[in-house]
Amino acid sequence: MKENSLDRRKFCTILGAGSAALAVKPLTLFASEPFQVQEKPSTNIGDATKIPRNSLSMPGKFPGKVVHIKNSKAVVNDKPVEQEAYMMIEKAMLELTGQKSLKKAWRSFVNPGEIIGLKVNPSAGKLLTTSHAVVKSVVRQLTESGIDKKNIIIWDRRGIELIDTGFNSENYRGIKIMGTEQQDEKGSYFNKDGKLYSEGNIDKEWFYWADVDGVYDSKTMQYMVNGGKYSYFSKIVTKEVDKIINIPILKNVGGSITNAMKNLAFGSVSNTGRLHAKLLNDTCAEVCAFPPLRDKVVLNICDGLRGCFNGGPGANPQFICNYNSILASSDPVAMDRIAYDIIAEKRIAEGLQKSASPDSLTFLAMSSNLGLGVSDKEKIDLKVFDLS
Amino acid sequence: MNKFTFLLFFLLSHSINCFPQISGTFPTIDKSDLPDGKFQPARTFTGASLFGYIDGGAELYLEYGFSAAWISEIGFMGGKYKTEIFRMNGPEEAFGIFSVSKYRCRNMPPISSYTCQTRYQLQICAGSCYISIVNSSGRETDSIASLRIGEAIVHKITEPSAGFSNYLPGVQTEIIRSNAILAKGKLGLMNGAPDWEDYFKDATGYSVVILSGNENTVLSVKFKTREDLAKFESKHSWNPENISIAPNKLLSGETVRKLSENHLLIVIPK
Repeated sequence: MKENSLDRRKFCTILGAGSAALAVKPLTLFASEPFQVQEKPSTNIGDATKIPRNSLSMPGKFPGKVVHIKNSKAVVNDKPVEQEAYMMIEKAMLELTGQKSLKKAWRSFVNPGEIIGLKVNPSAGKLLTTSHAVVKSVVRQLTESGIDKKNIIIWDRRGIELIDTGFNSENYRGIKIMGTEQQDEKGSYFNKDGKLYSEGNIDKEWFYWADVDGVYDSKTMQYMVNGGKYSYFSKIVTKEVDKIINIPILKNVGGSITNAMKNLAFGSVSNTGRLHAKLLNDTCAEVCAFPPLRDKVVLNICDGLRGCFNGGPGANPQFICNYNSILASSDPVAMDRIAYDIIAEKRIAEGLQKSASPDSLTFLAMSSNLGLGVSDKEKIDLKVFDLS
Repeated sequence: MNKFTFLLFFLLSHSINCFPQISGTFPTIDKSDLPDGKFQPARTFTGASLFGYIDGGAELYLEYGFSAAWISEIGFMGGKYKTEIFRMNGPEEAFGIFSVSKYRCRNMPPISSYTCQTRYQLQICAGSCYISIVNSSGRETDSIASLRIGEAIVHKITEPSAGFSNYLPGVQTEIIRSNAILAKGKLGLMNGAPDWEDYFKDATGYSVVILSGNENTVLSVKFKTREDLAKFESKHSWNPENISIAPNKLLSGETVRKLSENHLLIVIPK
C-alpha cells in the first residue's frame, strides 16, 4: 500500500475550508500569571571550576579552529572506505596544526610513552558506530607517528557494545579494548559475590553530583553501575589513559546533536539514566569541565562519513545518510557547533524542520561559559576542503 | 454542505470514544513460528533497563510509556534481520513511537493497521507493540523476509491497534496512517514534529496528535489534568472562559474548541 496523496490533498482542502468557516467570534486575550518554569537541579560544577586549568585543558592547542574535510568517495555502497578516510584525516591533521609532516602534526598532541585513549561511540550498534575506516586510520597514523600500539586503548562505556560492533582484539591486534561496564564469559555483569564487575571500574574520587536521584531496579543497575546522586568517572579516564582522542559520530538527538561533548560526557560517567531528562544540556557541558576530561582530551575527530539526521542517538536505517565528512579540532565545542550546522542543514533539506532551533545549542553556550571552547559561529575559524 | 465541510464539522463536533485496553501477552517468536529461521539468543529489557540497550534513546520510549523489549537477530531466507519488539504501555503509546520513527515509507503492507516499509526496515505498530525489523543489504528478498517475520509476530498480537476517533473524529484512517504524529512530551515532538516544540514548551501532561495539511495543521491535545490545561492556556495567554465546545478563532490565528473537559482541538493556518 502506498501513501495516499489524494486523500491527503482532500484532507488539506477540508482543513482549509474549515478555518474559514470557523471564523467566528475572536477570543479575548487576558493578562495571566507569569508562566512558572521548573527550577533546575543543582550540581557540583563549582568543584570543577575551582581546579586550576593547565596547558592541555579544553579547548586545547587550537581554540575555535575546526577543519572540515569533504570527500564524495569516502563511502561506497554505504560502506566507509578506509583509504579515503586515511587521506581525509591526514589532510585534516595537517591543516589543523599547520604542520607539513603528518608525524609532526600528530606529535603536536601525543607523544611516545603516553597512554592514548580513543573514545569511540558504538552505542547505536553495527549500523551506526564510529567506523572502523576512521578508527583504523587514526591507529595507523598514530603508529606511523611513533606511538606504540600497546599504548593505545580503544574504550567506551559498554564492553559488550564495543565487541558487538567489531572493536575486538582480532580487528585491532595489540591494542587494548576497554569498557567500563563489563560482563563475564557467561554474559553476567555480576561476580560470584553478587557485585557488579563494573563497580571496580569506577573511580569514587571523581564524581559529578547532581540533585537528581538515580533509582533503578536490579536489571537496570548493571547498566548504571550505581544509583543515587553521584555519577562516578570511569577509571579508564581517571587512571588508565594520559590523553584522549575523541572520535564521535555525526548523529542527531531530536533537533540537536550528539557528537563530541555528549560522547565524552555520557560515555565517561556512571549513573547516567537520571541525567537525560532534566540535565541533558548541563551534563554534556559540566561533566566535560572536570579535569579527567577537560585536561586529557587533546583532539576530536568527528567521523562524519556516515551519520544520521533523525532518530538519533539510536540507528534507524531510513535516517542514516552519507555526510562524507571528517571534522577535526582540539576544541570540542567549536567542532560540535559546526557539526550542528551540517545536521541542521540536512534536516531542513529533508523537511524535518523549517529552521535551526536556538534551544539546540544550549549545551554549547553552557560549555563555552565554562571555558571549554568556542560556541559562537562568528568566532570559529572554519577551514573547509573538498577531496572529491 | 459538501462532504469535506461535513467531515470538518464532524471533526470539530464529534464526541469521544475510549481506546482499547492492554492485553497481557508478549509476542515473541521462535522456530515454531518460523521453522526456517535461525534465532540468536534474545536480549530482553524492561522499564529503565532499556538504557542498557539504546542508552539516551531510551528516554523517548520512557516518555511515551515503555514496558518491555525483546531483541533478536534472525537468520532467514539468506539474510540477517535485527528484530526488535517494543511493548509499550498501550496501543496509543505504540502508535506514538511508530509515528515518530517512520519516514518516507515505500510501502505500507497490510499486515497491520499501521506499517511502514523502506529498503532497510519494516516498522509495524500492532496492539501495544512497536516492531522494527532491520536488514543491512536492502535487497528485494530482505523486504519479503522482513514481511514474513513481521507477519509471524503480528499473528501473535490479538489486541486491537490504536484508534483515533476520539482525537480526530471523522478523519479517515488512511490519513492518520500516513500523516499523523502522536507525541506525549518534548522528546516526541523533538523527534516527530520539531517545529511544534516551542508551541508546547514547558507544557505538561499532554498527548497531542498532529496532522499537517497544506493549509492548516490540526492539533488535538488531551491534558491529564485541569491544571495541565490551565498551564497551557496561560502560556498562550488564552482566556479559559472563552474556550468552549463552540469553535472560536483567536486573535493569534488559531481556531480552538473544547472536545471535552481537558481536551482541545486547535486548527492553525499555515
